[in-house]
Amino acid sequence: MEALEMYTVDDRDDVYTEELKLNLGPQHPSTHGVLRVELAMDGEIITRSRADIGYLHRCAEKIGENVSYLQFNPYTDRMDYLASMNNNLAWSLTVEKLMGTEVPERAQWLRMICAEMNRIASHLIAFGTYGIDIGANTPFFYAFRERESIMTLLERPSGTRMLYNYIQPGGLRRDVDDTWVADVLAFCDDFEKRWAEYNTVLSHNRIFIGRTANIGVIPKDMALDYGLTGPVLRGSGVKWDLRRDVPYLKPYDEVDFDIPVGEGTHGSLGDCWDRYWVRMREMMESIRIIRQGCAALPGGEVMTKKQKSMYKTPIKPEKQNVYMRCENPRGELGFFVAAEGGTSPVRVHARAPSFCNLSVLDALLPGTMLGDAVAVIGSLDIVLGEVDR
Amino acid sequence: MGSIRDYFGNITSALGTTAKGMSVTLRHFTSEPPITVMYPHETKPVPPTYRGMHILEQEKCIDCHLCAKACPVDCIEIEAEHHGRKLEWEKFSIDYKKCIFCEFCIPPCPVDCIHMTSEYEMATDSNDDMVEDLLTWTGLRPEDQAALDGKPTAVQAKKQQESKKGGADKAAQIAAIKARLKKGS
Amino acid sequence: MNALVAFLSDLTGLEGVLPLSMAYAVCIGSLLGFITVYAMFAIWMERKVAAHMQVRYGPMETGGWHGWAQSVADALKLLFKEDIFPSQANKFLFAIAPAVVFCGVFAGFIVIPFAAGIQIASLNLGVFFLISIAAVEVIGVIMAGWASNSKYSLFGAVREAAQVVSYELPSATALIGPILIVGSFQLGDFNTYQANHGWLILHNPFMPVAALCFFISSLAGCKRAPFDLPEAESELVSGFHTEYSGMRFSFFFLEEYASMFVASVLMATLFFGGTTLPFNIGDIGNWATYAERAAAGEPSVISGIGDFLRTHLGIVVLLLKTFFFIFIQMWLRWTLPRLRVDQVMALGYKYLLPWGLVTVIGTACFEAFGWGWLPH
Repeated sequence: MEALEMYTVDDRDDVYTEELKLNLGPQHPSTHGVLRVELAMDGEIITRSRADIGYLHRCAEKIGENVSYLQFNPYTDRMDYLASMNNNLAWSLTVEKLMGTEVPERAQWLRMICAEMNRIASHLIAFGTYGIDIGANTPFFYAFRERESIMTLLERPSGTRMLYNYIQPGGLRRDVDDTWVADVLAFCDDFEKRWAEYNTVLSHNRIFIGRTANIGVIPKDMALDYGLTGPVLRGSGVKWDLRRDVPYLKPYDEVDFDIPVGEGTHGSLGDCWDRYWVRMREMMESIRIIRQGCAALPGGEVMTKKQKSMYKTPIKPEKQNVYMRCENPRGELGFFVAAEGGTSPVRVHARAPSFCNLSVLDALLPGTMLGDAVAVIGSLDIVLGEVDR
Repeated sequence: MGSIRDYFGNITSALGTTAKGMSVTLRHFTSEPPITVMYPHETKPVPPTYRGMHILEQEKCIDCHLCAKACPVDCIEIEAEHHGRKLEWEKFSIDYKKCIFCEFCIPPCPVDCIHMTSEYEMATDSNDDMVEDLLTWTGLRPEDQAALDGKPTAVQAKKQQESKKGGADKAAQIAAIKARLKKGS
Repeated sequence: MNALVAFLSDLTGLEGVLPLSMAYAVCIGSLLGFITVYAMFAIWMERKVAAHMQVRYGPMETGGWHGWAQSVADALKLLFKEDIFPSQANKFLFAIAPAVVFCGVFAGFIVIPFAAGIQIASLNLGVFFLISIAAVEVIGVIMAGWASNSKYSLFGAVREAAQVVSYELPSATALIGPILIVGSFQLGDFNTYQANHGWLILHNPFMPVAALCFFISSLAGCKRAPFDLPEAESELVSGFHTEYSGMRFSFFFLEEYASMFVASVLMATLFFGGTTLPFNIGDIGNWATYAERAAAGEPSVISGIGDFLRTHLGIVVLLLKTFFFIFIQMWLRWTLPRLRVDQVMALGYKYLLPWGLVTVIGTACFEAFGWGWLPH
C-alpha cells in the first residue's frame, strides 16, 4: 500500500500551505502496541488517516500448519495476550468441534468462570490504559490492583499469570484447588466496591466526559457495515453477543446476565463514552456470571481419560472445514480450520476482532483533532498481537 | 435559556466531579496501603502448580522422547545411548530462549520424571547460559559401567577420539560455514 | 537588598560597585541554590505523592529512607548525559531555549516576599512584574519547539503558546481583586495588610472565586495537568521538550517546578496571609515591625532574638502554605484527565476570564462602599 500523499491546503501567491504528515507510532505511548497511523493534518485537525499494521506479525497462522492441534494452543494465547483464556477457549472449542468430543460438565462451568474472569482482567486494562490516553494516570494503578488479584487467582489452577494454556481441547489442564471457589467469590465482593470507585474517579469525571462524548461516533449501520463486534458494536446500540445469540458454551444458557448496550448517555449514540461504558458494565455482568457459576459448579473430572491420551498421541481429525466463534472481550474471535486428516491442520485462520474493529479507524479519524485520535483508538480497545498475529 | 443552564451546569458538574475524584485519590493517599511487593527484598509466593524452570529425575527417565515431541517449539534436546536397559546419558537440555513454559512436556511422561519448579529467576548475560542441561550426571552410572566389563562404550570411544583430534574439527567447521556465507552474500 | 549592600560594605570596607556586585552575586547564588534544592525536593515529593495516590511506594532505594536521594541521583545522571543535538536542529535556538525558559521564571523570584528583609527586590510593581516576567518563558518554549525540528515538538510548542498566553489574562484579572483591597502592587504590603486586617480570602464573597480562578489559571500557566497539553505524554511523547536530554531537559523541569512555586507563593501571599498566621498570632512574619525599624533608620536585616525568630518563623509559615498549594497542584495532576486544546481555550476565555472580571467588579463595589467583612 502506498503512503498518504499530502494535499495542498492553500496556494496563494505569497502563502503556500501543505498538510502536515504526522506519524502516530509505531513507537507511541498510546497506540496500544506497535501500530502506525499515518495522519495528514491541517493544523490540529486530521484530514485523512491510514492505519499501517504488521509490526507484530509473528506468522501464527503459518505456524499452525506445522504444529499439532494441541501444540497450537499456546500460540493462541499469544495472539490476544490480554484475554488468553478466551483465546484458548475458542481454539479448544474448534478442535472439539473437529473431533466431535464432549467436554465434562465441570470443565465447561470452570471454563466459563475462567473466561469471565479474564474478560474482567482484559476490560480492566482497557479502562486503565484509556485513562492514561486521556491523561488520568491514576485509575490505571487501581485497575492493576484488581488485575493482580485476578492473575493470582488464575495462577493457582494454571501455573502462570498470563498466557495460561489452561483451557485445552478436551477439558482443562487440571482441576482447581479446594479453596479456589471461595477466594473467587471473595474477589467478586471486593471488586464491586472498587468498580464504584472507578466510576467516581474516571467515568463520571466532567473532563473525561468532555474528551470522550460525541467523539468517534459510529452509527449503527456503519458498525454493521464494517463488521464490528464486541463492545464496539454494542456501544452503537446493537444488542449482539455471541454468548446469548450463538451459544457456544452450555453454562451460558443457564446463568442470568444482561447484555449492556450504549444509550447515548452523554452525547450521540455510539461515541467513545458509550463504548467505554459498555465495557465497564460488562465487568459487572461478568461478576454476576462468575457468582452464579461458582454457586452452580458441579463435581466430576475436568478431562476424560480418552482426552488425556492426546498429550501422548496427536489427534488426527477427519477431512473437514470448521469455523467456530466465541465472544472475546474485544469482539468475535473465530477460528477457521481446514483439516485433511493429518496431525496438523492444512490451514488455520484466526478472525481476530481487533483486526476487524481497527478497519473503522480510517473512517472515524478525519475531522477530529489529534487528542481525539488517541481517544478513538483507545475506545476501540485493540491488541496488536491479535491484529497482526 | 438552555445554554445558560448548560453553562452553570458545566461549572457545577466540573467542580463537583473533580472534588469527588480528588476525594478518592486522597483516600488512597492517606489510608490505602501500597500493594507493591518490594522485589528483590520480598518475593511474592507462587502456587505449587507454578510453571517455572524444569527439573529432571534422571534415574527414572527412560529416554522415550515424548516430552521433546510434545514441545511446540522444539526446545528439548535429548541424547542418550542405550545399552540394553541401561542408559548412557549425554545431554538433556532445554533451551530457555525458546521455551514458552506451556507445560506440554509434563503430561506425556510415562514415568513422571520431568517437573516444572517454581524457579523463575533465570536472567543471565550470555545466550549460551540460557541452554540449561538438566542432567546431574553424564555417562553411565558407576554400577552400570562395571556391568559392561570395563569396555568403553561407543559414546565414550567417540569422546576419546574427539579429545585427541582437539579443536581442529571445530575450526574446519567454522571455516566451512564462513566460506558458505561469503558465497551466498 | 540595600541592607545587604550596606552590610557587605561594612564588612569589606569598600564602596561603590564592588559591594553591590558582591550583593548581587550572593543573592543570585542563594536563589539558585534555593531553587535547585527546592526543585529536587519537589520532584521527590511529586513522585511520592503520585505513588501513594497510586497505591505504590515511589522511590525507596536511593539513599535509604524512602529514596530521599533519588532527585540528587537523577540530577547527577542528567549532568553526565550526552548532549544530543538533532542534526537538523537550529543549533543556536536549540541551545538557548532552555535558558530563556528558566530565566523568565528565575527573574520572578527576586520579588518573592520571604520575609521583611529577605526579599531581593521590593519593587513597587511587585505583582505586576511577577506576572509579566513569567511570560518570557513562552518565547523559550516556542524556540524549543521550533528548533527541535520535530513535528511533535512543534505541536507542543504551538499549543503551549496558545495556552499560556491566553491564561495570563484570567490569571492577572483574578489578582486585581486583592490589589484593589490592599491598594498596592508591592508584595510586602499584602503581608502587612493581612497581618493587620485578616486574610484577604475572607474579605468578600468574590475573593474565594478569585482565588479559585487564579489557582486554575496558574495551573495552566505552569502547564500542569489538567492543562499539560504541551507535554501531553500520551499524545506527543513529550511535547516541546521531546528532543532535549540531559541538563537542557532538566532546565525545563526546573522551570516547571519553579513556576509552581511562584504560583503557590502568590496564592499564599495574596489570599492566604503570606508569612502571617491567622489572627496574626504571635506577630509572626509581621512586616509592619520591619517597616517601623526601617523608618527609624536601622539598616540591619534582623535584630534581637525575638525579631529573628518572628522573621524566620514567618518564612516557615510561608513555605508551609506554599507547599500545601503545591501539594494541591500535584493532587490535581494525579486525579484529573487532560483537557483538549479547544476545551482549554474555552475554559480560559468563556469561564475564567468572565468570572475574573466579575470578581474585579464585585471587589471594587465592596471596597467602594466599605462592605468588606474584614475589620478595618
